[in-house]
Amino acid sequence: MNTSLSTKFLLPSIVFLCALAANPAMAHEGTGVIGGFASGFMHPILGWDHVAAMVAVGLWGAFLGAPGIWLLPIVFPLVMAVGGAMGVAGVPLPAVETGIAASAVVLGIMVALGARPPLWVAAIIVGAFAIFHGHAHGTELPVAADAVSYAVGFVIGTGLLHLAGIALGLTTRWDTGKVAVRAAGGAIAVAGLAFLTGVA
Amino acid sequence: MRRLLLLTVFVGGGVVPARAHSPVAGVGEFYNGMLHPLLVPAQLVTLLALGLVIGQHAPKSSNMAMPAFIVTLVAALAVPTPPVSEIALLYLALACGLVAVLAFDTGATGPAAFAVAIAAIIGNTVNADISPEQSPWLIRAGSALGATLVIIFFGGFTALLKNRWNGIVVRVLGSWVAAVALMIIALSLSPGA
Repeated sequence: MNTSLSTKFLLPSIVFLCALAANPAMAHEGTGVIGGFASGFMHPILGWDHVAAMVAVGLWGAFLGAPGIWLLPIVFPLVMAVGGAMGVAGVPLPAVETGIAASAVVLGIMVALGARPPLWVAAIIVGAFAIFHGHAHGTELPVAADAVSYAVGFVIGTGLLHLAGIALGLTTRWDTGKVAVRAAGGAIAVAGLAFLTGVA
Repeated sequence: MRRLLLLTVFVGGGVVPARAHSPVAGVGEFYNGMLHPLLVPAQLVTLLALGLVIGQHAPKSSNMAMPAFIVTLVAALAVPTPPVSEIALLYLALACGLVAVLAFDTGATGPAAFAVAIAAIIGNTVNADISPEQSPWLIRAGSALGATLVIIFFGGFTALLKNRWNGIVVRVLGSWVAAVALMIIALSLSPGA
């Protein structure tokens, strides 16, 4: 290759200047009201284990039909707040990460089987796992830049994940949709197993 | 209902120094006052909670509550009182959120009582946030208008949604508000808060 001296040094120079200009990576802790909201909103969305479980709650609600379709997404944030309060207060909860991963396994299996237990049983199962999710969020709340906007962000983030699950779950009115939703439940359970065993 | 309100204000309303909120530069004092309820998350969450209660059984629940809110807010802004913690607002938001979740029909007086308590605390906290170099009456006028517009919006929005999907949206929003309020109350009570 016939390259001039200036061309030869051009690429290394650009790389060097880019390296000089690069800022150190910042942790995703936001500042102020907007930063607090953004970090709270992203907290459940950036964790695969949270996402899988939240979507599974919505999917299961859709399988249960009314009033389960709206009862579970109401029970979850309320009980999650109790878990969050425990986390904020520093009340120790053993095996939080295991509980979160187990929630994906159990809820995924419920969706895969199309289980329709009595509503109160479903509410207790969902509520029990919500404690673990809330505790994980709550332990980060005291260090959040703006605690109220962080809490608003993660409750809305969680709720929108439920909504995504419900929207997908509404396809169960068609036979193909039922198969797809059950398959999604199976995939969530497998993912949960991967979280549980440390593979993912 | 009155006992519940008294309890929440008593538990949450200890006289403590208010936390100041930085004004937005370059938008003027009136508009800063208008933006106050939007830029203070505790106030916005509480106004949403009150809007849910006011709109859920409208017009019965709003006929008395809306005028009560406006009159109390103006009075609370006009007569500064010792600053009250914003956490008091979140106790009321929790109570309103749970009322919305359970779709309790508290008649005309229940929402009005919540409106009076919330307006009184919002007026108090706005006054506490006014710094000496600012023109207090412009900020007070802006805040009165801003908070009134916000509550009309939330109450009206809830009234529109109350009969859609069996009122599910209102109940879900109530659960979100209650969850947020509960977490912040826990934070305020935690050691080192």
